[in-house]
Amino acid sequence: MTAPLLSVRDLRVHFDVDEGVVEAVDGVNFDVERGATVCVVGESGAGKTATAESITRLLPEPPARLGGEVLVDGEDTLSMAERELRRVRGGTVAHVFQDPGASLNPVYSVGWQLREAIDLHCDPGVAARDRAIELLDRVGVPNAPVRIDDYPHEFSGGQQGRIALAMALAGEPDLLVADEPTGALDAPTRLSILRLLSNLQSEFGLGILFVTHDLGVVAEIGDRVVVLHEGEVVERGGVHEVFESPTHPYTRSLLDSHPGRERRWTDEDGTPSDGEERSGDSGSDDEEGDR
Amino acid sequence: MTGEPDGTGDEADPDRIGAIDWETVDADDGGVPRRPAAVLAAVLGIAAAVGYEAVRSGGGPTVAWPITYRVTPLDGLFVATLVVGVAYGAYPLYADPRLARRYWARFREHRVAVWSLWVLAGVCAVGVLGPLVVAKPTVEVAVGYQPPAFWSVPATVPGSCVGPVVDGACRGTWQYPLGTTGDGRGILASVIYGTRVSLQVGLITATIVVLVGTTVGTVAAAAGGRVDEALMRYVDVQMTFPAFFLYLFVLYLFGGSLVLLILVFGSTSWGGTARLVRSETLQRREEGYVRAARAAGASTGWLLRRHLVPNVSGTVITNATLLVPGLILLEASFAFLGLGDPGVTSWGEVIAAGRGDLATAWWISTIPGVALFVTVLALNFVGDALRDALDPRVASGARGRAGDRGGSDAAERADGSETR
Amino acid sequence: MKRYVLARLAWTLVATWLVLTLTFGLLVAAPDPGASAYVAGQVQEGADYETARESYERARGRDAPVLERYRNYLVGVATLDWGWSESRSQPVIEAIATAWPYSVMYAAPALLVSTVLGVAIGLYSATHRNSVEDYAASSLAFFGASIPDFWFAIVLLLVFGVSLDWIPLYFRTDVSWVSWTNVRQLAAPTLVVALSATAGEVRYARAAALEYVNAEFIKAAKAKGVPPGRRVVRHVLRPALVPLSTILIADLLGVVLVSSYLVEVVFGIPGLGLLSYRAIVQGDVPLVLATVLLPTFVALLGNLLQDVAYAALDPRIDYGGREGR
Repeated sequence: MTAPLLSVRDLRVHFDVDEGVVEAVDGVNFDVERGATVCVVGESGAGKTATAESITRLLPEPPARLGGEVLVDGEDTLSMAERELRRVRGGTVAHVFQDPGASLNPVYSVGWQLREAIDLHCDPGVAARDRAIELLDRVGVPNAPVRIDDYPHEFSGGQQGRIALAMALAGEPDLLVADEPTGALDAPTRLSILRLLSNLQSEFGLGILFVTHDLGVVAEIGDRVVVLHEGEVVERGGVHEVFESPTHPYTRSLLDSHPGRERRWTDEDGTPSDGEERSGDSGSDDEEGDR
Repeated sequence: MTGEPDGTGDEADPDRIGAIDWETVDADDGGVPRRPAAVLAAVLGIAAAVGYEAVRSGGGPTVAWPITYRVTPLDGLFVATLVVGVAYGAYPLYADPRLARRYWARFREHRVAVWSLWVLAGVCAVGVLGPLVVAKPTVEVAVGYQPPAFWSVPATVPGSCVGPVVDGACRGTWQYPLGTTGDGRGILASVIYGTRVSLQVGLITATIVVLVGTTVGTVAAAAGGRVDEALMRYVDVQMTFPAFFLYLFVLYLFGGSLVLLILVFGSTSWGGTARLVRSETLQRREEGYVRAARAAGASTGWLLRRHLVPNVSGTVITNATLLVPGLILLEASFAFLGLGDPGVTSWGEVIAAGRGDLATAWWISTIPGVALFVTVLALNFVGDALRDALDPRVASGARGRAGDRGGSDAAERADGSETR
Repeated sequence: MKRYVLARLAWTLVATWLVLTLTFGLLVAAPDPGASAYVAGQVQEGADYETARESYERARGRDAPVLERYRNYLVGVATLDWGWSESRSQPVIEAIATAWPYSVMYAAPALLVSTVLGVAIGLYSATHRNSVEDYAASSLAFFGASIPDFWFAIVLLLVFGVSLDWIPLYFRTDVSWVSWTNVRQLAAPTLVVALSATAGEVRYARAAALEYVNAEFIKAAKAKGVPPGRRVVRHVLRPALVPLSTILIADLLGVVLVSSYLVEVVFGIPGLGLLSYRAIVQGDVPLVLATVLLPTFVALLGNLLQDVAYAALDPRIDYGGREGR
């Protein structure tokens, strides 16, 4: 049995702030297999982003302190030297962030930024510009050879999301860590990005770690789900199992607050509980509110 | 939505909604706003008093005890400034102690700024009270070039030495603790009177700038369209010119006088404030609480007065505080160049007076400069700390180290959300 | 972009015209400081007061109707005929031509040093927040911005000239420009100007860079594997140059112009500042006017350059963006 692509063992992320120590992540364990999509869910403040950003140590290390192990292809990133780490970043593990517009540098053309990623991780012999155009085309940006020289602000939000994906894929990574990349987009755009992600995953054999608080997204693309609450994993499993029969009360409440669901799951002692269909009375938006 | 005060007595905590007297709130629905009216009345009263004094026949001193003093228009301006400052700066803090405490707690985090505040308090005390207690420096050539109390110079330097001459060296005395200038004016007295000049220039000009800038900025933001465009173009013009040289020219042509200085500075330095107020107002106009108020039926005037201006005032105060040191330096520079008010003793003028005697009487140029430097430095520190303290959008814990954004989750936590 | 540049150029010309009109207006409105001096001198020699006044006004051209004087004034400025300097007995333009090299001699190095140093320190501060170096840099910026230039110059003279004798007390123009003596006598002036300019630069550079240091795209660059040095230069500095350029040229120039004026007066350097000061003392109106106009024009030009730089550096600017300035 091959080792998982990503293996997080007892990850701890503590922040030293003026008022003391904030324990954002407190002993988190999970794996991501090649070709699989693992979704990390939880409410705001649960530690999802801190977890995601610890994988390649993107957090500024004072004030953050990391503990535990993060094994990427068997190697622990938490104890790697800086140079090694830089090779992993973008080359093995790539990131897509919440606001794609903000993750693109406004003063450089899209092509420049793609080429930067390509030059960092691919052979020098590769024609970087051609490859950049190819990438842009692959993520679905029309008229790539012309638009390659445009600036980020000249693209729509959805297209910026695609460009961010292209940038992530430029280094031919094995694992893609996506932190709410579709949060800022409207529903149809979101759907098309998720479809794109799905296609790219099957085409490149990517493992995906998808951080989100939107259960709809999880249902759409997730294979497995990890539920975080206050820095700890409270439940994990296949998406279907967890959604059908959540065992942890927190997971249940998370699912409960998702409108339009017919709630039906078995209690611990086996009796099925028959919930009324909730017809969207719990608020006007999709999100679990702050509790 | 009237709540019921619970059974714990009639002196309910004023923060609790049940204790709000809705009748008073409802009655205060506009009409003539009280505070601006009061301030205007006070200013008019001052103007009348000063005007009467200026026109009064005789030209003698206004008061004879404890010191002989004649009230001038400049003094009137100064008092008016203090009135405005108290009404809009001190009174709101007094009326809302919780807010005041919060600001103070944040301000206190900057230790250097707190020290600077004490320094400034001292400077203000010296500037306002000093001239009432110490006599104005007068020219008395016979006692020129006296060294400070802790120093001695060769006896050939001063014309005649006030203190003892020991071994051919003239020693300083406590009669002139900081020495005298070449024409016999006491340095200590000069520094004290110079403090008042700097205070007057700094505070009065800053007040004018704030008043004009805020008004123009709010009008531009509220009116929009052509008015906005025109006003901002004017501000562009005003801000493009290097003010120093134009002031130089004006002062040269018309002669320096404090009132002219203040008027010229005041009428040309408000551009930055106006721009700031305009952009902040525009930003906040789109925020939720403004929209909510408008939806509840508030008029534009009400919105401006009650919601927008108070929210912008923090930035304005910081802006004003940071203007003052520049103004003081400007006045000192012009006084140094001889373009200041010849009738007053200004720090810059004394520094200039000592320039030719650096080798023999170093204290003349050096000591007033220390006062100038320290005052300006203190103002800058306080202004910087105010900027941090008054910005309502930065939550207390998220500044400093955690402000480096160690992941959005952690920063949110550090904000002080108590529920774990 | 071209349209923007042309628009700013037109604006500069308008502003120049406004300055000229304003100064003219002031001249007309104000009593001529040179008049009383001249008249007093004439009266002493037995001339009649009224006649003296009139001949002065005629000589100065002040007896002509206002509009004609205005036209002559504008034409004169444009053709570089800036009048005659009584105090120096030479055309104003000549006086300026002799003086400006002395100003540039120390101001240009100061400007250069402070730009580079200021940006470097500011960048370092922003990327190493709350470190010892950051606090040191901030303190330096505070002190540099608070210290009165003319006083600092005097103190330097006192300490290094009078006490230590490391720098000369009087400026000599008879030394070769490329000589150790010249360097020694220019060291203090350059230091004073550079300090003020650097202080302002550090503050702004730090603030501008700080905005970007925490930007999302910096994190994205880190996630791509970009090494820290390259990140700072390519991803922080380059975008930060946009807001930085709004002060880099114009404001910095403004600081240097004022600073150098005061410095020259203190050290006795015969540059434009001292020329102006002497003209003021001696009531030489045309020379004062010229030495007021010249820095103003330089500042306006600086503004223009700055606007163009801003547009060139920020691809988001199309035309006339006042927002975000």
